[in-house]
Amino acid sequence: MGLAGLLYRLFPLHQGDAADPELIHWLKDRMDEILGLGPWAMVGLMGGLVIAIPVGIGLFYYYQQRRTGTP
Amino acid sequence: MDVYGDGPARRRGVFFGWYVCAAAVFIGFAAVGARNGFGAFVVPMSEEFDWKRLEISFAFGLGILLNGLIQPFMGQVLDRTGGRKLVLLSTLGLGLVTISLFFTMSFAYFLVVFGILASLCQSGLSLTNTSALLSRWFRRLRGTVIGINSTALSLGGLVLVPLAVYLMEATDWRIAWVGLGAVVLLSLPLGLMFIRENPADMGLRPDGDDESEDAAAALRPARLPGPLEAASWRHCLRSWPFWQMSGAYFVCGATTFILSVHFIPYAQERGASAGTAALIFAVMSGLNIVGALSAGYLSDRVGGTKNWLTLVYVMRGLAYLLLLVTPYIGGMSIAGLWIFAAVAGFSWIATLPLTSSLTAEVYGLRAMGTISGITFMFHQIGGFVSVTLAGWLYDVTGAYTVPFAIAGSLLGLAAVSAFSIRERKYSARYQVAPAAAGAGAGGG
Repeated sequence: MGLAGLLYRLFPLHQGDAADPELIHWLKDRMDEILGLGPWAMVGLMGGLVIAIPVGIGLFYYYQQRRTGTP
Repeated sequence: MDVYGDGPARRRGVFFGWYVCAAAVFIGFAAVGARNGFGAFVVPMSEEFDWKRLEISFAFGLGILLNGLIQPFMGQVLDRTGGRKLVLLSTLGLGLVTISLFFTMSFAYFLVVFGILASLCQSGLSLTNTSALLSRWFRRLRGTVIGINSTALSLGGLVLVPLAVYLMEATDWRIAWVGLGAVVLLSLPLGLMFIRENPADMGLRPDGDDESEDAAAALRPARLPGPLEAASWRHCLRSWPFWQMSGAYFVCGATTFILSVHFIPYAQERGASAGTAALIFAVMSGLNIVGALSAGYLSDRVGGTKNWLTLVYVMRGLAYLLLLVTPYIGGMSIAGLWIFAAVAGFSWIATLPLTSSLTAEVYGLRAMGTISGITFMFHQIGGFVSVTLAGWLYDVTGAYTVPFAIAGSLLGLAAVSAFSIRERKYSARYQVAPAAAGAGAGGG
């Protein structure tokens, strides 16, 4: 592997690890095996999960603000 | 045990600092995902445009170097402006830049947009910056919170990269970039609501302590700033702890990046299948999260941050030793890789909360963004040097033994460097008024 070939794997692998193409495909294959859903269903499932996080945090904040009246 | 001796804080509801932390983690999660998704785009983009791997890799390599080199300057912007505008503008910029990869028609466009513009925006959202911001909101729980913030690195890669892959399978790579950019923009409202620079601006105190604690605080020994507390980053360059931490962080970068790049081929050389090698690496990545959370929590609860930092380097050094020794023990070739993953995984990003906490405790918060940015630059340089050197040594010797042995030896030096930091002398955590000095907490 050349220098530039090594470079593209540097940053994500220490800071996220999933960026390695081999690992990405391994992860995808395992998820396909376990869940057996199509790509759109997986996008909907994972996208929904991702959207739910900030929405959940925001809603919890407003709930707490109404309950306690404090920031 | 509360090493600050401040006692438990009374709070009404959830302290706003936790919302700042949640927003920082989600922004980091989205930003890391958008960046780490690169690995999934290499093949389809190369095929469509007939780019060589070398070219597309160069765009990413340029981004890495830029990211490391620009970090001190982004840290300085954070120190001078407070951080809210930097984080929000960087989030907006990264989201738009990622979406604009939809329009990629040439390599020059990809190089400028992904290699340069996205890297600049990414630097504004780096963990060193958000950790500096969170350090203002938390004092007793600083290590714990920075540990939580660090988990964004692993979570972003583990969740958003598969999402990008599925989106690509359902549509094409252009839509997948738009999807990743949309996730980054999704974090913007959270940032607008919760990224605030200082608890004092909202009439709050670090850790959510309330005013009724003032009377109790008056009875406790007064805490003084550390002797090295810096108003400017230049001061820290003349002190030992900065170089001790930076030297150790250089080794951290060197010893993590080398394995990030070379571990899977190395494991395959030892007889592991590609799937097993990837699984071992995935387990190690998952243990990152446990390691980062534990390190931050233990540093807050027990104190002696430099001792935990030393332990992390010792653990990683031990893992390297096991990696080198196990091939010579019968039947341990693959088992040795699993043992390595278990031991090394805990230490992988645990250095981040510990180094950031120690930086805040020794140098204070006024120049923390810049100082952390400089230490991070050493980390990136260490990674760059080690990966390049390891590739060269592999070509010369035909094995990874020499580069891994060098990496393991460097970890010994990093452990000595971390342990020799005079934390008790320099950390604000241990500074109390002379009359009450005997009441100080242990550690150092």
